[in-house]
Amino acid sequence: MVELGDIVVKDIIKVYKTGKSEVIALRGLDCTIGGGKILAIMGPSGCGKTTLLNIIGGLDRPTAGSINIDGVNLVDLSDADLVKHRRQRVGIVFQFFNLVPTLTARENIELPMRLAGKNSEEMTSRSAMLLKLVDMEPRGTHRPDEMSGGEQQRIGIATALANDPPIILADEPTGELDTATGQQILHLFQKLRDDYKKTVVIVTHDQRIGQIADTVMTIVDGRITSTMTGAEFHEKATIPANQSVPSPS
Amino acid sequence: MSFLSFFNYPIGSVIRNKRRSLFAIAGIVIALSLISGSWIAVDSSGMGLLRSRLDKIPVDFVAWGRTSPLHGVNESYVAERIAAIESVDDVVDATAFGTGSGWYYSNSLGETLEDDTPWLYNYSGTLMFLSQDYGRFFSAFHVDGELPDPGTVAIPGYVADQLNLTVGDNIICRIENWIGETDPWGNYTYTTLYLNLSFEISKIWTQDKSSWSDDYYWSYVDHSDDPGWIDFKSVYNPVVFNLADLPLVDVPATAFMEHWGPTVSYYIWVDRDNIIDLADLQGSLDRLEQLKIQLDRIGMRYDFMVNDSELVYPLYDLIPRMEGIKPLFVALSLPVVALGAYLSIVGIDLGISERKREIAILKSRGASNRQVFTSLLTESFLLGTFAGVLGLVLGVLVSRFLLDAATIFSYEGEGSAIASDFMISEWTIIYSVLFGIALMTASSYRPYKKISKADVKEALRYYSPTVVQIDYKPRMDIIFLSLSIISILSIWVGFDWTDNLQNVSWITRLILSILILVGIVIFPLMPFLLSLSVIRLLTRGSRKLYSKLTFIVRPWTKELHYLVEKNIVRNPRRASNLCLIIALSLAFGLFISVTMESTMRYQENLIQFEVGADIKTQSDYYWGGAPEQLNPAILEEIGSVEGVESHSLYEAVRVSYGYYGGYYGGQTIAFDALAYEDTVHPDGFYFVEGGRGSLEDLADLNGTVLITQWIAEDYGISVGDDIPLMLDLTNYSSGFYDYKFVNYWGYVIGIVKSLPGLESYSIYMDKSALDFVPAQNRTEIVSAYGAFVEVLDGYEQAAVADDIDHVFTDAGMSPYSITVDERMEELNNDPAFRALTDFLYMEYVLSVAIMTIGVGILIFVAVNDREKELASIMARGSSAGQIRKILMGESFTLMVLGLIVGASVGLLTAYLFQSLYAGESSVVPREMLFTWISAVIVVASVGALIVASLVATSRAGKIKLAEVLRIRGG
Ligand SMILES: Nc1ncnc2c1ncn2[C@@H]1O[C@H](COP(=O)(O)OP(=O)(O)OP(=O)(O)O)[C@@H](O)[C@H]1O
Ligand SMILES: [Mg+2]
Repeated sequence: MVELGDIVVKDIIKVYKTGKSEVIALRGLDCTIGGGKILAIMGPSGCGKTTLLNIIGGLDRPTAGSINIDGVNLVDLSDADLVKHRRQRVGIVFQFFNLVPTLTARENIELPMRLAGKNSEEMTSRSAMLLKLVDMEPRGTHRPDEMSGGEQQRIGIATALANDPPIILADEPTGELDTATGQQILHLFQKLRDDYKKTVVIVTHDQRIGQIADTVMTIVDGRITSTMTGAEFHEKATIPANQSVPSPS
Repeated sequence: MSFLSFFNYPIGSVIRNKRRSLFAIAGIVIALSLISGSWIAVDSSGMGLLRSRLDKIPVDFVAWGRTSPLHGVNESYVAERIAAIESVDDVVDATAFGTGSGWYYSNSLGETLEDDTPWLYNYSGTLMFLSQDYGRFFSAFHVDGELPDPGTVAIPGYVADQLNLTVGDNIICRIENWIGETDPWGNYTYTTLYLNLSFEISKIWTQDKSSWSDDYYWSYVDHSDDPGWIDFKSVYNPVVFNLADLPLVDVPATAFMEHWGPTVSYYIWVDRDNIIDLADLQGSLDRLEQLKIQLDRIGMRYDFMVNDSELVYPLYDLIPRMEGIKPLFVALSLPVVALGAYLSIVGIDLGISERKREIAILKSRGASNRQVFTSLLTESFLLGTFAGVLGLVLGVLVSRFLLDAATIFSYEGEGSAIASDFMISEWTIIYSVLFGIALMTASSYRPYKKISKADVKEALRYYSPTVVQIDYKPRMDIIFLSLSIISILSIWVGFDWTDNLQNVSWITRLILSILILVGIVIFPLMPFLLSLSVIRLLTRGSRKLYSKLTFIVRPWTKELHYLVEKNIVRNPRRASNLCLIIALSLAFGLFISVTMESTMRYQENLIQFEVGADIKTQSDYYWGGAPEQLNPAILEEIGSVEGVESHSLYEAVRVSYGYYGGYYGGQTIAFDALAYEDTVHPDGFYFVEGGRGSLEDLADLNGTVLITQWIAEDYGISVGDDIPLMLDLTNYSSGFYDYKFVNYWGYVIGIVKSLPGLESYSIYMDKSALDFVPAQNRTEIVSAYGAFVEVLDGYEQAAVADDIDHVFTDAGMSPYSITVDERMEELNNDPAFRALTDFLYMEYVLSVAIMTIGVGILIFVAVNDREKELASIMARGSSAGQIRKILMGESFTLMVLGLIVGASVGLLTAYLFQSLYAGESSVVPREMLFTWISAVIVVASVGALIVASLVATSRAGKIKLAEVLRIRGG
């Protein structure tokens, strides 16, 4: 049953061609990501997690298949419409934060709004609100190199929220952070779902994700091998909840 | 470490990182292409020139019999010698002939050549006795003819024409002898005896000298007035016999005149292809010398001696000219070499961060500082070699454009290089590679030294995307700026300024003089120092200033402007490099265009000044002549010559400044001041005091004079002074000079720098001022008559000048005319000036290429370095167009800064350069011209920059987001 806000991924195939050799990153992947839910994607390195996320985020196009969001098939969008998709419908959180080093925290948050042509009052009030949301109010004038990783990631999340997109995509958002900080970031995602009704897709190796995710999906070699609820996953996870699994990188 | 493995790393690194290698050598390659291109052009046109000269030389060696006269020479005598000569290696052919001189030709009517022979040497003719083994004699000398029949002669067509002779007629060859004695009182009395020998003519020879007629070193004859003589280098217009017929002349002539007798000569041809190597002139000379020695050795035995080869002179002559011009081209290439080397430094610098990691890895595996440095230098060495070779290849292209320029060293009328001539000498190759290595090593030494010492831990951690924090010490730039300012001021005020300083101690004056000297000496470096220091201070000293400058792109970058404003200060070093490359190239372009155009205009002004009006005609009589036969009144007819718009006459009169009764120079012109003003329209510039109106005063007020500035200054004369004048009435044409001088006074009403067309004179007065001279003495006081003529539109100046010359001739004078048109044409055809202009503009084109590439590389790298950041901005919703806008906004601001600095420095330098000359150049105005060429140069620079940045930023639109953002192995 597809509801409004769901992301319906159908038969996605992604083939990378490098010279003569081909890498099949996704081999006919089907799934529905429920609107307003947190979906965690797990799986071994190289299984295609990032690829899937990139396709949903409009950063890349699938070789075959379709991605439907509110009746729009991403595959049919022109480049210009994909820009709009990135601008309005999704917010991306990166593992390495990817903030513009010359801009302050506030300016980084405002950047997507500027790109979207928002007026400056709107930008000021919204960036203030977002700084507050991620608990970084006093740091608005600091540049990324003056902040810790966790702080940078909060700004990264605030930046992703700038244009109030319904979907947040996060690729290993806690990969670079220590346990406690990672935990805080995960709570932030929880808050986004609960208070702001965002659809959140998180790629992670962090076992604690079970605590917050509605669904945990495992991909192996470009196919979904299991889907379970967050609770089920949490139970299965043998590792104590307060200890994170180190990222394979 | 074996030799090979030692080279492994640098070779691999050069080849694998093609882009990095290319960035490092691009500038040097372009700079080298200009140098090697100019050298190839010099060699090629030198080769063409030499070839055309050698083609004009009909014979390679000439040898002369030692015994002279030598009676009884015959075919077997010469056959033995020819065989001996031909046995020498590289000698391909030889022939022998006897000559006997002192003969006059006449026909049976007794008519001779003597009277109408304009050329003294041909006063008498030469009899020639040619061996039947004549070899390439006919073909080498382009003679159309063959050996005469036995017992008969062949004569030149010219002689046949003059004496109305034809085949079958007889020619009379006559020789004279004097028999005389000295009587006891010492008087010599003699009788002239004649021997007339008559020979039947069986052949008439003609010679085609078209291929070598204008040659200046081959022959003594000026063939431009050649009436059709036959010229065998040492023998002119001979009457030719078979050698076997020598007794027909020898016997009677010897009987007639005991000391008469023939001389034997040999023409020797060698294998030129084997001996002359155009690429190795010195070697060719050496081989010719060797050959002469061998021939001389044979001559010892066979009684002849050998002259230096005829081929030596053109070779010998060309060497210094070709070798001398090459360093000149290198010197002229220095600006582009500097720019190229700078681009390479920038290129190397761009690879450095990437490099640092690599080197750290090498070191962490145990490489020592020295090993790293050596391997890096080896890399420079390889790259330099590569740059040299590439530069050479490009140089071939450049040389095609410069062939014109290389004609600098051809003499007028000698013909210039043929486009098909093409030569790269080994020295060009060697120097090109050596320059490449030297430039590359010099550019990379410092950065490589630095990174080879870099700390491993530091380097491995190095990661660049944030703001580059390089501490900048402005000290050097402040020094450079001060030096530039000193240089500018020095040129501005010049040396005389210190002389005018009163009330300062000699110490102060000394210090000031030294400062000025230093300033003038560093003037050639000034543009570079000034651009460098200003740009670095602006971009690195303060980040605020040029971040403010971004306002110029604000209307365009709009909502993203703050990004531009922030980003631009991010990498000040790169920013200053970008600006500097632009500034230097534009400054150079503007400097040469403004300077060349202004110089051209100045040359034109000089011509205008020299000629005065359209035509200047003058006839000189300083040392006599025959004043009686002159009828100056006829000159008034000039006004009615067709095509004359206006004219004015002048006379150089023997009036001088007669201070203390002595004869104190200062040549005087008496002219019709009003007509002069009307015809010549002298610029107000020439009038120092009194203005142009002083010409009218001169006509109105009797007894007034204008004097030139130098007379005024030398003798301390000012306007309003009376000056003593001395009129020389001596009649120099009478032979016995009866010196006669008249002293009187002139009233100075104006001072001029000089007057156009009358430069060599220094006192000017109206014609009427000499009315007191009795009419019969008028012509005696004139040393030159002249006229200025303004030509009506639509008339040829040269044609009108001819007509005016006729008027002068009618007046009994021998005129000489110059016209502006003719002078302008000479100027425009001046190969040296044209060549220099060509070369400099070519250099500018290359400097634009360097600039474009430099800017392209810098923007490209900036995009590359920030690829990830740009991708993340795109992931957050930016379109490719917006990214381009940001990048263009950044680079555009820097470009504007570079252009402003470059244009200012270029114009300032051109202005100072002009004033450097203006200081000493006296009379003719020197103005600074900004012509359309300069405008084109600015537009071309801007255009090239925009294209370069568009191309470089277009990458931004093609960033593959997913790929760039992918966390590898994450
Ligand atoms: N641009 C590319 N060209 C070629 N192959 C690629 C490219 N991007 C990804 N791949 C391949 O596609 C497969 C899936 O890659 P992807 O980045 O999606 O893996 P991942 O699940 O995110 O792994 P990790 O946990 O290590 O980040 C891998 O085998 C990878 O090598
Ligand atoms: Mg991944």
